[in-house]
Amino acid sequence: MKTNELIESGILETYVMGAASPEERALVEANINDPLIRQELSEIENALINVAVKMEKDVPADVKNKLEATLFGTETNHQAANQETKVIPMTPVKVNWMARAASVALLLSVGLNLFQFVKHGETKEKLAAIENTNTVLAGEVKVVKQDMIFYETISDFFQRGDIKMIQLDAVNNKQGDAMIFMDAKSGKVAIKANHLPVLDNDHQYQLWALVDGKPVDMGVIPNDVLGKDQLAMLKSISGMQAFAITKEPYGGKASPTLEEMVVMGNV
Amino acid sequence: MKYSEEEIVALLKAKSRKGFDYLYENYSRAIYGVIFNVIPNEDDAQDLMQDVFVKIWNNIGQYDETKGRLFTWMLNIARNASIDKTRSKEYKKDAKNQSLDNSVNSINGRHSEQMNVDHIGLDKILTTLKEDQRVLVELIYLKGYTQAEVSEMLDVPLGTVKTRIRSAIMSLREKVVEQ
Repeated sequence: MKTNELIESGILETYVMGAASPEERALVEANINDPLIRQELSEIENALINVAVKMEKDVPADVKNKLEATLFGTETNHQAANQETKVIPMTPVKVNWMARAASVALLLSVGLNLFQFVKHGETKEKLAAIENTNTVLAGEVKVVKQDMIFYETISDFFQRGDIKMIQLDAVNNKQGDAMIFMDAKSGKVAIKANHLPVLDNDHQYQLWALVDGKPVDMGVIPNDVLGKDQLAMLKSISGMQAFAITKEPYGGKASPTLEEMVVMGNV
Repeated sequence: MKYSEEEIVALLKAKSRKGFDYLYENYSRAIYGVIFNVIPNEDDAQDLMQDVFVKIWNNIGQYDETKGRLFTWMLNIARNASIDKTRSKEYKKDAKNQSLDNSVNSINGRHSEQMNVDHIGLDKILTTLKEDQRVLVELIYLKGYTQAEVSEMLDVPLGTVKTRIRSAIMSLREKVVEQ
């Protein structure tokens, strides 16, 4: 995708809003060193921050106290430990053994404190490492969960639906074919694009349904299912006479580029 | 004393208490605003505020200034944490219990929430947008819905969602210049 196409696409805006898909995020980050993209992103950020600061809300003081206890609570404990170290009064001339005992006690106490302090530091580090691992694991669980929901959706689709298969064949001297699975009851549509040529990151295939002679956007096919035995669920539709796939700039378009039509099939 | 974002990041990476104090002083209200917009409930929002600041404090090492401003990074953490909360089972259960009173039912707990854009400044800036653009900024930026969810909810193609967002933000950018 060219710089100006990326700028016009609306992907940069969704990126700053935190709403970009993983593919879109990768696309933006691949171009992030382009000065024009940088400039654009920075202006988008300023505009959105300008909106965010209008939502400012006073935070109850309690929140900061709790937070400090969580983040720095360890420091206050450390001070408390120091205060607990008792100073034993000494009378050096009169009873010398007492002074010796006191200095030994003091030394032991200082040593113990020091040991605990070092140990404390280690525990803190370990805790931070565990917290990090936790975040990573949570991320992985999220991905697995999403995969699972996806497969449940697919399996539900085939088990409960009244599935029709529609073969899309190459047109315009292009290569490839694709298979559409459609649930006649719900109008849900899945596609298998294992025979469509793989695309670069600047393009995506977009599915269209022909309803009363007019193309209706059915969504883009994720590039990572191309050439693979994987299904992708697209939008739902009813009353269409045909399906067609066009090659479009990444993210798809509002209306199909007819000369880029790759495959088509009647219902 | 005013620090630049770069300096704040350096302070935070060094786990400086001063860095934390400065961060809290200057950004907590905006972050709380973002959280409260998604979770309009003081108790939950305050709990989340804890989580979000701990996350910022612990993950500051992952912040990459080449990818955007610290402010944006923190706002995204706050929004994501809030959305994760609304998707959690316990929250959905609570939301369901609450909605028994006002008999508002919906498939998804989040859909039953009303927009609570009750900040005058925010209202003022958003009402300058066209209706179809304003709705998108609210749903995606303030409420944290995904593009796909919005596309389905409003029955608007994904491509159109993007172009509308683009024009909405173009017009918000003009507001920054005017100020």
